[in-house]
Amino acid sequence: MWHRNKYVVISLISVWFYATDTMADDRTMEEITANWKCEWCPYDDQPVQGEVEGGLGAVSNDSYKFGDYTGLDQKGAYAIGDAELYYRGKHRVDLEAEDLGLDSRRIDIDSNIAGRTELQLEYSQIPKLNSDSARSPYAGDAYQRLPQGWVGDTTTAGMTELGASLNDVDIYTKRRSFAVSAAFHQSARLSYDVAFQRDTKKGHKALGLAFGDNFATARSAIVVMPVDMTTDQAQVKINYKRKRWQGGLIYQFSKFDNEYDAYQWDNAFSQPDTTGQVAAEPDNLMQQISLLGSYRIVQSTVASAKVSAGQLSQDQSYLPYTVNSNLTPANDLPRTSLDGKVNTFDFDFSINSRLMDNLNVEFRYDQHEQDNNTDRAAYEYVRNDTTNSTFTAVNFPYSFRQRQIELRGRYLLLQKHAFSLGFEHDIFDRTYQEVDQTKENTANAQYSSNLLSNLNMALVVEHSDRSGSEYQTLTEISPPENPLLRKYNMADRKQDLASASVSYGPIKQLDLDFLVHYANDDYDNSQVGLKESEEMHYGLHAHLSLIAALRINLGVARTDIQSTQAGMQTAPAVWIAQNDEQVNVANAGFDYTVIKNKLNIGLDYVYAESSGEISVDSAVFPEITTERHTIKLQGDYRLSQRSTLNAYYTYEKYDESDWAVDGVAPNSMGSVLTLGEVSPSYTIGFFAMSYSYAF
Amino acid sequence: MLTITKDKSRISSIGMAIVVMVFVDILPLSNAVAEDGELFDKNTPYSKKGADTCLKCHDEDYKYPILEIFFTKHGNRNDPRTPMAQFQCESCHGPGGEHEKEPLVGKKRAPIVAFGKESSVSSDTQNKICLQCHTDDKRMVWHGSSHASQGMLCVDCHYIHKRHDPVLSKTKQADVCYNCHKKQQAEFERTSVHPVRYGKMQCTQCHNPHGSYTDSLLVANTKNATCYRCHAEKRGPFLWAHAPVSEDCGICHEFHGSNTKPLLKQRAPWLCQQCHGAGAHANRAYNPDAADGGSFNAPFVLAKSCLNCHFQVHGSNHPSGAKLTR
Repeated sequence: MWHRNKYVVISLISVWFYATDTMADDRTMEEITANWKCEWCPYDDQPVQGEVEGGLGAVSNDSYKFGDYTGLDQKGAYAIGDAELYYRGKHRVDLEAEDLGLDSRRIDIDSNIAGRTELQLEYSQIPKLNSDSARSPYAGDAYQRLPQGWVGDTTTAGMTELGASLNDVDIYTKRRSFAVSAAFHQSARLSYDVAFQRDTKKGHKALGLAFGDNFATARSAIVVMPVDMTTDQAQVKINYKRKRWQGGLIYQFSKFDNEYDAYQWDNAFSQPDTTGQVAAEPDNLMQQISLLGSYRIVQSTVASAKVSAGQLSQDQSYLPYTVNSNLTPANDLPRTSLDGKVNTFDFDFSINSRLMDNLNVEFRYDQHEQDNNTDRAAYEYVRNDTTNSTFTAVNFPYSFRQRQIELRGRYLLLQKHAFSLGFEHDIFDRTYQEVDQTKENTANAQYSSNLLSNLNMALVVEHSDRSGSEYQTLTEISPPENPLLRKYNMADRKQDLASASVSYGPIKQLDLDFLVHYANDDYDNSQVGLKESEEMHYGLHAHLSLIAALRINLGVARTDIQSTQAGMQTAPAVWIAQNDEQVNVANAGFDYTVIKNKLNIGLDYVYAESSGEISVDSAVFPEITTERHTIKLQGDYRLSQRSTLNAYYTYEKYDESDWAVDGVAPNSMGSVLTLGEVSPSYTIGFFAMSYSYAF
Repeated sequence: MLTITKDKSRISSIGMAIVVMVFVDILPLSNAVAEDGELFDKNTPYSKKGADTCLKCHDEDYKYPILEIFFTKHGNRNDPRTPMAQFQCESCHGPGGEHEKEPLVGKKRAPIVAFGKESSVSSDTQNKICLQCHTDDKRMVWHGSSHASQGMLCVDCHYIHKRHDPVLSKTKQADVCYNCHKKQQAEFERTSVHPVRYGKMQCTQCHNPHGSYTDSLLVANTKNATCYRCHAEKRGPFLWAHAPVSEDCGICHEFHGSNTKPLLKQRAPWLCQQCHGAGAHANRAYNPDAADGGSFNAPFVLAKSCLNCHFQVHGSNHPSGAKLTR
């Protein structure tokens, strides 16, 4: 008996030794690090650090396009202001401020209080400038009026006071964003996050506003209307993690408020003028709660899932059918507001497993639903504040459900070749649309290799095939759609994608990257509608660093985009429109440390040009082009250990031609009063000098 | 002399020992991701003085500057979650007790965990070291994500020892992404773009590079939910919804950039005519004659084209807005 059991005992003893031996150091972290003073760790003796930069810059010419997103739209001087302030002590505070003298300014504060609570504050502005060449006879706020003595006429040619009434009007919006968030780490396992963000967007936008009860008699004016919108977003999150699993619960809230419910304007095409009214974007609300988690089933297998349920709602009071009292709808509105409700449901699940050291498989299931529970009703609407319609329209509360299953395997051969194969099945259900359900199968194969230490390559090919249930023309739409037309988001489609990339470093100082990407969407079964679209992209980039102080980058890229679509004006003849677009981008630049710790200079040059041509049957529209040269030069010279002199210069030459805008004066078209905008074209220099001081 | 039975007993007990040993070995390893230090060789002791040991050699003259880590969040010793508040450098690089020893003549210094493509440490282990701490909802689906499945390392994008990690910088982040995403870089040079090239928007405002359930690693559950974070006015629901708007913003819009404002896939009227061919004007073959302002067809191609009248392309809440003109 002893002989039999001694092996068990010996085995257990050996296991005990083995186990204890693997736990070589039983001391706690506190015991091990008790004498770790970190005496040589830097920054301890300088709790406050930072750098402030101030200076002046000047822009040589006016251009909204140059000022788009940058705030440098007006000729003249601008203040340069940037700052970085850091505190390191029991607490940590980082403050970064950028472009303080511009409309594109930003301030971020990131702090950590006693290692348990993180607080963040962010403020930013983004100017979006759309036009500085618009001219309009209208003036006002949400009610745009024509000037005294306006002479209305059925065509713009008869508006005799138009020329004298035109005033410049800028079209732009400025977005301001303020965000505050806090994260509290109760323990290593449990943390809470709270975040709030308010975005406001103010400015002006141009709307095409029409009168008339059919397309032949319609008269439209492009009118600039004010924008004043606020979106509040909040999020509360709880995260909990254990050794094998982690989970989270997230509540999200987003409320959109529009200062304007409606816009009104005078009809420039009538004498005396009449008034029209359109709806502004209605206030709306989104709420969502999500539960998510991941679980490490075994060392090499992880499952994760997220389930979200939410609702989009909108219940703004309706405007009347018309503001013209002489028009009398036969019936009252069927309800006073939409009381629109869309329930959303999202479920995602994935399980990823490393079956062997070199074989990884993944299964994924995703489901996304928008279940629109808004009631339907019949609206006997007034056409364009002009005449009572003889038609009644019923709203369509569109619902969607998308379900995707994906299986993917990845095999690594000799640590150098990775093969990946994936299959995806996608089912998309829609309501109140021409196709109730589409199904799409996708196969995808990838190969990547790092055969040599200086040579990497990747190849990807993908094919998908989509088909739908019977295409049914909607009977409730008036006039009825051409039964031969296939909307391309639900039409039968064959899609092919392929891409290849190679990274090669022939010498240590040089890296070359080449990329080619091809995509083709084929809608062979669509007699009318989009029939084919294709994109081809090539790019070659080089990074060169012959000496440590000099880094050079060069790149060229070309993209060709083509599409073919068919229309039917008079059955059975089909017209074909062909769109051909080419985009070329080239860039070159360098960073050079002329004198170490003293003088640095840098240059970035970007050339971007595009040309587009549209032909309908054999007739060709004029070419649409954009061309931009941007050169940015930057230099900094260290005057002392703490102070630096900086210089910036940006040169930009931009030219755009668009036949839809250029040469179209406010009265060029008889039935549309436009803003007479012109495409931007400019040559601008921006020079700035600044002094920065570090402490 | 052992009997066969005894042999069997020995074999079974050795087998049991192996099973138990394997179990003992695997169990802590399977928990290692969340346990400090367990990713590293347990037989290697920690250094005697922690970071002070490391800084004797890895000082400001070292070829890979590292001192700036003490300025970063990782270097904040007042935050108990940071590596510098735990095993300091050895929290990530593993116990350095052997590495700190002067090697014998002709011998190499004992290695320590190094990061990067050149490292002998596997990419999985390198990433696990980061994921020991960086486990939250934003990294929950790193495993299996497109970046993970391509064998990417955390340090491919992140510079841990730099005072300012470029990928966390609002103005420099895109340049890091462009190292691989060259096509997207070219798209952002087009004339109508989201303001990434101006440094006023970051890739991570829409994408989660650490993994998400969407095809393009989007931060929200769907494409539209991602867009609505900044464009909530287009969310509705509207009385007169435009079906493709509710389905997918990408049916009409490019996400990065286009030469047709505003980020459109095609200009009107042809974009609209790809789905609308009814009535007496949506079905027309507008040819260049229409571009003459005096043409009857001019309003359908010039200025805002279809949007000269049907401006409510994202939906209307006006009771008379069925045709998206109100």
